[in-house]
Amino acid sequence: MSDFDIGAQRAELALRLHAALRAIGADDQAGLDQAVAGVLSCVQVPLALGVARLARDFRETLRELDLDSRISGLAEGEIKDACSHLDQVVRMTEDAAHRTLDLVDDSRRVIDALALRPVFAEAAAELAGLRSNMLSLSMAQEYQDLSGQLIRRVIGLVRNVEAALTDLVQMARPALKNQVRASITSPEARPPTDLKGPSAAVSASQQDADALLADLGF
Amino acid sequence: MDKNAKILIVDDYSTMRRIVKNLLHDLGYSNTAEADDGRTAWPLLQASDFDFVITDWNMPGMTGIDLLKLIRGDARLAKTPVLMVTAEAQRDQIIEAAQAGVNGYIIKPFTAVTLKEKIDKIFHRAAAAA
Repeated sequence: MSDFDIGAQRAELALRLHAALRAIGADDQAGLDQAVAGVLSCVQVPLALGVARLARDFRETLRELDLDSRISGLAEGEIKDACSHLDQVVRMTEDAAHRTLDLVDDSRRVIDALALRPVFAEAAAELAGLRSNMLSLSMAQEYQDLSGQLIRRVIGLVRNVEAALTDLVQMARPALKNQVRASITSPEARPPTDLKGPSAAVSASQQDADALLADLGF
Repeated sequence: MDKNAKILIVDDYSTMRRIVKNLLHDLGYSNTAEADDGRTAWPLLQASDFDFVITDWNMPGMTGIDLLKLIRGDARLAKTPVLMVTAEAQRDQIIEAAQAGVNGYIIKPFTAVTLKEKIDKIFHRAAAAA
């Protein structure tokens, strides 16, 4: 801010303060309110200008570093994929745990039915051992609850990061209106990987895989 | 407590509800019902006569600690024993549960022996107080 600006602002402030004093002297409430509002605006304008300048500098820096396209690539692409992969892990472990518990329930019924047959009277200890193993198998499925809770916590964290990045990009965009932005889905922004891992959306079923292998002569 | 005791299992994870239910069946308690959070448990508690509640802490909708406070604040349900089975293992959380009037606190992962011990203890005390 130039010396001239500061001088002009001070003169303005002095004017408003005098007006306020006059209003007090004349017991003019409306005039006082107006003068005080004027004083406040004198003080607030430089602050608002400072914030605006900071925001402009910030956008400039983002643009110079080309962070905008990199951040939007992350926020709109890879982070969303990461969350859906984690959701899928929770679903897969839950399905596996239920499958195990179904088999445990079924085995317990079989063991109880066998225990009632006279022919198995001599195997009572072994049957009791099997039943105890079934209980341990059931207890072991606890991991699904605990791992699920941990993963959900990570998903929450990742979503917060995503939201913060998206805000950052929104803030930066006005400065980039006239810039040519890198496409979010450009190959540079999303380097291809050889290993896809288990995929959330477009994955082949076991039948698809079997059919493919059969076509290839396996 | 007699083996016909009616027990409500409250947990947002269906696998955990099955595990607890299996354990209870093994201990001889087969009269069980399930709810997936405090909000769905509350109408069940009001509509029926449960002898015992086993609840998780961290659940969407209504947490186990809020359910416990509701139970303790309700004239008819206030004396129902509540066992907390949770992964929340912070000292101040356990204290909070105790202050809210919990009857037992089991930290996940837990064993069958632990659950049996806590249930026996709670039922023994309930019988002594009766």
